[in-house]
Amino acid sequence: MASANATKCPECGGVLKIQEDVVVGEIVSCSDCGSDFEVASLENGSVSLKVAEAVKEDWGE
Amino acid sequence: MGRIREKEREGTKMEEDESGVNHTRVGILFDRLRWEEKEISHEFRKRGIVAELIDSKNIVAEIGRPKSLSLPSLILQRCLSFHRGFNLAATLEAFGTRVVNSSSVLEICGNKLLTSQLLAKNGIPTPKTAVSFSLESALKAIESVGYPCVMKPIIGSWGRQVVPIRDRETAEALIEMRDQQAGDSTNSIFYVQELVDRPPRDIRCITAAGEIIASVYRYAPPMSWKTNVALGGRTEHCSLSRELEEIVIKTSQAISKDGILGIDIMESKSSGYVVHEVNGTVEFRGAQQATEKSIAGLIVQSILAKASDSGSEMKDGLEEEDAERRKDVLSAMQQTSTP
Repeated sequence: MASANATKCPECGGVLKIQEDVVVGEIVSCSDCGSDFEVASLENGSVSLKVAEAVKEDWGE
Repeated sequence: MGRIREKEREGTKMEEDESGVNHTRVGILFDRLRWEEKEISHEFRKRGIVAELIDSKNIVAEIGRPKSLSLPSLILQRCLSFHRGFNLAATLEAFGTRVVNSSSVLEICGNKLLTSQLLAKNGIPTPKTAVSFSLESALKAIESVGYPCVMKPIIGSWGRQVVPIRDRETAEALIEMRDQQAGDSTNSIFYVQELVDRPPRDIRCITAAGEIIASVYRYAPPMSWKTNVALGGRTEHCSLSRELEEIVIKTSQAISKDGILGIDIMESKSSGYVVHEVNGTVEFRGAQQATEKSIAGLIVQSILAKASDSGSEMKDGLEEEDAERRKDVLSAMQQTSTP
């Protein structure tokens, strides 16, 4: 399994672990504050995050 | 690379070079990339096809101008949002793109009322259901089904806002609450279903192009009556009886001949198997935990087989090769909390 890189949680400043095989669009969650972030871009090993969409009433299967 | 020739099969443009190598462009449309989409992408890659991961939130389509988008000719629709997925599928179909599942399948599966109507029309056993369209008639709908019953939103998933009603007091309170909830136009649609007396589990069958590719029991988590895996339910392999197999295949074929569906069945103590839900963007992380073969692999295989005769050359042997990797990922995911 891919090892994890770490970045700073934009919400609480905690450590946000990001798997090496992460792809754009994937959601990463902060284990400290529970905030969800979406991987916005991946360039030269650098990950940029944006706040993930909140769950809507029409989400599901 | 050699010269590429194009041919049309079942509405999908396939591209092959002179040596017959498949250059089909395939896309996976998502709004939140989950384990399922990554698995599907991985299974395409194993078969020599790079599936483009397309974030639906970035799409801008100019109506009547198909060239305003440069998307693959075959799209697997995997949006979490029903409205986004359905409307995008319809938009892409209007541009000549083949979308799986199609907008018409998504519309039926995404709306419990339409699903119930289609099941009933095709003689598929389903729980007793009534619908009313105003606050005034809601109580009548509830009492026509009888107590205990369940009120469900017609659009929604993961067991959200599904409320059991065991007596008239609860019914009146619930109707009053709906009256006070502003902002959701479907609040005046009262979809009511009998509360099926069943074991604390249901059955999830996944079908691809009318064939059953996985079947599992879903057990409700402790202290809950809802079996949704998204709510912490657990899964276990389910061997299907001939009767159940026939119900599942009939359901699948009634809704879509080439779609990917998640069919949910309850074992009613009084009336046997009843189909209560059909999912058009099926989640299968939970089912995979109790299934040996790769569900994503079987989905990809079905899509490619439908799109081209070359789909029959897909390699089943790849299954074993990846079983270990899948097990690792699933066990890691089990340790994380579910959204």
